Amino acid sequence: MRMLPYRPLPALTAFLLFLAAGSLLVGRIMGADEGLTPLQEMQCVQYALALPEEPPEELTRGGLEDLLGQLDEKFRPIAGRVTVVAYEAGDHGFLLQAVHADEPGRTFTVDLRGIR
Amino acid sequence: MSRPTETQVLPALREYKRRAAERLDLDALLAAMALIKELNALVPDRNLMTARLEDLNAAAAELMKRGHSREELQAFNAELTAFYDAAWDAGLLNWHPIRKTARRLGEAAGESTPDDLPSQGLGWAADYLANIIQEGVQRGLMLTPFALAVNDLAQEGGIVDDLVERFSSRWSAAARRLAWLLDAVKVGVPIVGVVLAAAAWFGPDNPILRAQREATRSHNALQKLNIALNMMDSVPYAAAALPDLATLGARVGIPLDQEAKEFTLLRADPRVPMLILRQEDTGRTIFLQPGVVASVRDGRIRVVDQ
Repeated sequence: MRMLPYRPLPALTAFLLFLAAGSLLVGRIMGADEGLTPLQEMQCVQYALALPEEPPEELTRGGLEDLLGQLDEKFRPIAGRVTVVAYEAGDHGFLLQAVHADEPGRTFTVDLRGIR
Repeated sequence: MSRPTETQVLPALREYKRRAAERLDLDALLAAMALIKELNALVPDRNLMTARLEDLNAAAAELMKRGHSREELQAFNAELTAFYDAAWDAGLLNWHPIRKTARRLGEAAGESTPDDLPSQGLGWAADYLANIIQEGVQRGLMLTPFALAVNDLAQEGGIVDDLVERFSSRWSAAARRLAWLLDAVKVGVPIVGVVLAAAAWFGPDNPILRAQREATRSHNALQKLNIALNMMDSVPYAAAALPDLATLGARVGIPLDQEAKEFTLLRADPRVPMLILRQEDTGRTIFLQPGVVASVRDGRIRVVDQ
């Protein structure tokens, strides 16, 4: 069998290209961190309020931030993008009306069952 | 190219004369040629073409005894090197006694094959070093007992020889001898790579397959929990009476002992109904509602409508 001459530079170049293309592909498949949409951030608020046994009597920005932090520390900044329009807590759980800074024309209504 | 013979001193001298005439005046040229001829008479066989460095040193010592000054011989040293260079370049030498380089069989003067390039480069490096030493001697920065002591330095110190021999001839010879090993490496490395890659892919540490197995196991567990969730609203109980999933399973009549090992029950709310769980091995927080599964981990939320 005739052996081709080993040429290190093309071999190394091909290997580096393989690595670059592979990492791009894996990054695409695994999904890059593209941030959350306003709806997803409101879902975070919903689950943060659902996490404690009893919802808080009042919902301040600091209180919401703490609740989001209990759910996941990385969710804390969401509190700065959510403006509470109305909030009440009772036996039924809670009812929140809020506006997200990235969708100012829409008022989200949030309770334990979902978001409308 | 004709092969060098013992009779080629005169052609070498003519070649040297032709070259040296460009840089030396007539007197210096005639003096150098006279010394070369005198030296030729002192070396064995009266032939500079076959003389060794030791022969040249001995002949130089004899020249000093005959009354030639050290300075004269120091200056002549450069001309003798130039003489041998001229003979070498003209293909009249197989062995350069001063630079200690040998011509391969069949190699013509002034030609080189790609294989020779590394040794040629090292040869140039050796020449460069030799020139530095030579200049040092000529400028008085180095002291030498004889006119040809530069070459003694090279011989004893071994700097030039070591460079050329270690990295050129010996390496080339070793590389030729071990060509079979290089071929084996060229074939073996890809095979070993493929085997290792396959072992890594199918092994227990592959994160992709492990994630798939975990996803399948979690999916099956969540299916059972979903059934328990749908039966929860028909069973009256106090939320505080549900310390873990096993208790919930006993309450609704579905064995959840295996799931209790994997998930920690954070909260169960029969009003929605809703189960909030933490998956211990992944750290995910899972919110389970009828028709909706949401999971939160590491700043991400994923909500799936079922």
